[in-house]
Amino acid sequence: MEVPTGDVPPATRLYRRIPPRWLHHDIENNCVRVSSAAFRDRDTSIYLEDALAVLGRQPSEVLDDYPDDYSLVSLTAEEVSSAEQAVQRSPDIKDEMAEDDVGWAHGEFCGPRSKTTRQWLREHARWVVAPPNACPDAAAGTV
Amino acid sequence: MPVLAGGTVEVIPAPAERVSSQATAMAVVHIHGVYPSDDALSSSEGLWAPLVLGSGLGVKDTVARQGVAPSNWLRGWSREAQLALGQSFADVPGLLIFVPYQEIAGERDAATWRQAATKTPWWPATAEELNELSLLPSDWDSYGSPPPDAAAITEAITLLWKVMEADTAPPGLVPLSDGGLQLEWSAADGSVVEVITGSVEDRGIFIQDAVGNWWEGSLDLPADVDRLTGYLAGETALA
Repeated sequence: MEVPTGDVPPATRLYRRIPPRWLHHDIENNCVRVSSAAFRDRDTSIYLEDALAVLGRQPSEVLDDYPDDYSLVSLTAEEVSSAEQAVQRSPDIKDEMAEDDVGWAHGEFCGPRSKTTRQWLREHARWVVAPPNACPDAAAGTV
Repeated sequence: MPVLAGGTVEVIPAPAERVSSQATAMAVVHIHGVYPSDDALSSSEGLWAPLVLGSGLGVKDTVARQGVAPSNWLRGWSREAQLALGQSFADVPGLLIFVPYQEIAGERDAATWRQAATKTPWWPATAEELNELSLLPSDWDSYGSPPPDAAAITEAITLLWKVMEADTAPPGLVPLSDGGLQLEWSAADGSVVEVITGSVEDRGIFIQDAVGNWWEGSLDLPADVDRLTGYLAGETALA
């Protein structure tokens, strides 16, 4: 298997791992949504859909080594680029890494991150692995 | 803000409508083996109730450490007694927060105190969550981040006591990857309020309303904090 290199096609989904502390309870709607804090870092760690597919891994498997209360959201490369972010592949290479380790599919999106940009990214993120009681306006539960 | 040896105390005049006549101020104290001096507390003529964040101690532990029965320790504290209480926590690392004590009806056990002492419905749950945040380990997010720093938590508490009304919804408290803390309120119409505290580059206020108008303000400008207060109270619109 050969993991893709180079430019990321616009339709490629980018998967962002969400620790439970980045979930915000929306009291008025009594549901849970992703905080913009998940998109605050200038270099935002993600996994790339096309690379995961070549590895034969499901998106949800990027959470295999994390506690059950972690969630996963996705944006497309096109969406992220429209927010003036550059998407790049950056495999997370470790010692004695299996051929199909999800680390091969690791990447980042980088760029200036104003508070409005963070909000935009949050609003466009879709649940892939949703927490219990996820707000439906984040396209809960499905890829 | 009076500065103490190794720590700080800020005494914040509290609006009369938010607290009873017994409490005229609250203090936020960051201690690592220090305690506010008598002078630092002199602006308060009310009583104080302690809550220790980041130590793993709850109210019951606080009472036990003081060695005073719950029915007695809340009432009639002299300033000397308050200082003695503080000194009894001198070896506890973390945040010692004094909140205004108010009249408590009925049984004065720890749970009752926690519910009734402040008459601010948002505070008990917020205090619990701040306590949890202050105890987060490094790498709490699996991205290698440090826990929120004490300055971010202290600033958040100080701000909340300034801007919250009794019926304001409690904020979501979201730790940031560089030790800052984000306070979030979101409404059913899609509007969002975010405040970032701590020694971080993007510290400040951000409000975005339901139609996408947005505004950024500074935590250092009283007019901006007032605007935040008005927005949270539903009295101020962006446009």
